[in-house]
Amino acid sequence: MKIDLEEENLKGSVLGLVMALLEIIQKMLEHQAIRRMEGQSINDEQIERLGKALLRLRETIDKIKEEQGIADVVNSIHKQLDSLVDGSLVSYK
Amino acid sequence: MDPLFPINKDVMEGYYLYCVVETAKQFLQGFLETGVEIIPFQSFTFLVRPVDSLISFDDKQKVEDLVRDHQLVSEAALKSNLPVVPFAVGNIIRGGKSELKTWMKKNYNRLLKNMEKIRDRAEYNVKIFWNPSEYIVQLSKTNMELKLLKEKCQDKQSGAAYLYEQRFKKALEGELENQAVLLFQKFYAKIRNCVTEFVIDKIKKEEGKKQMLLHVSCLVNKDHESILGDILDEIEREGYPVCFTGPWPAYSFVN
Amino acid sequence: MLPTRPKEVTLVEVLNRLLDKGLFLKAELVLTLADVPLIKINLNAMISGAETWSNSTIKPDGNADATIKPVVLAKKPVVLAKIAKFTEGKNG
Repeated sequence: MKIDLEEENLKGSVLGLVMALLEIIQKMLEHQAIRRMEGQSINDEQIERLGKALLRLRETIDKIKEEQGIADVVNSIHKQLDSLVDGSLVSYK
Repeated sequence: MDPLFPINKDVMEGYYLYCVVETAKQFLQGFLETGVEIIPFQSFTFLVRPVDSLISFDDKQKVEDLVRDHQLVSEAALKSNLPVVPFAVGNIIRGGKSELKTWMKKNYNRLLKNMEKIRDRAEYNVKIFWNPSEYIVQLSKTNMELKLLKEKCQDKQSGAAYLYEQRFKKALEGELENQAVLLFQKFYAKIRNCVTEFVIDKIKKEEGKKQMLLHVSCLVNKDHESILGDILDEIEREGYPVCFTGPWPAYSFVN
Repeated sequence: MLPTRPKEVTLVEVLNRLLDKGLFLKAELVLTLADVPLIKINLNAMISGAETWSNSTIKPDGNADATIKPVVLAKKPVVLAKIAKFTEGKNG
């Protein structure tokens, strides 16, 4: 399993990898939050708090990506991770 | 000296395989100038090239050149209107002419089966797209769940509004996906009758507004090509852009 | 029977679907350095989204009910990472 990071821009690559993973975690948290909303197992106050936290996390990630100029690196890492999944995983029902 | 295939006749490594054409006669069509050799064997003619080194797949540019060269030769062969069984890119039979002939004899039956499969047929590539934005407009008027979610985005505070918007986006994507699957099956059903065999290809995410619904390689009888073309025209008239290319050498349908 | 439309699947979608179903992870991991086993981890974990959790009855002993199908990802002891291979004798 090989993920290509640029040697010349190691700081950007490592940071990019970290941000990519953070983005994945944020998306997973968001997905589970939505599922709880759909299952109606949380009240309005919890929804508001969750939404604020998730939004803040997302905005922080975007800000770091912009300030460090690593948006392309992060996209490339996501593409590589996704193609790993596409290639090797059989659909799990 | 051909930079792609530098030939040192003393160091013959083997023969690079392009394709097999069903004809007992040798036919030239300008191949000899490019270094491609024409070798008859029983009812076939093989298009090959003597090479003095094996292919390394490290140099990306070399690989691209190789693929293009391979496609040019196979497609030129196809222009002869004779049945052509193409080899995949990068096959080399090691040794001299005698080893090549041994290989030909050994694989003759397999190649014959492939030839029978593609005789009087050709491979065509079909891509069908749609622009979902119209459907989205329609959905936002008719779909109750989506309407409710959209409303919730409006009258809640910022945190909840964000989550309801994400929920709305997810639900919308789900509906689009369902519709895409329905359309895929509808189109597949329409074209399957004039197609001998299908290979379902990967659907790539298109940039911009267009989304790919269907991508197949079809093995089609030569006299069915126009029927397929008509069906695709009809689909395009209904508002779904179609990309219909071919005939190609039947790479996807030979083994 | 009609074929299914192949869809590009992202890593996030796979992970989310796994969490929605819930998974039971059982693994024995051995971390080695220079071919010497140093740390051993025995893992029995139930991982799922909280909604899945609250929808099923999972007993503390790990016996889940029928709503969660166990996905055993690693059964045998797995040498997880050969962290670094130092050539012996060269660097002193």
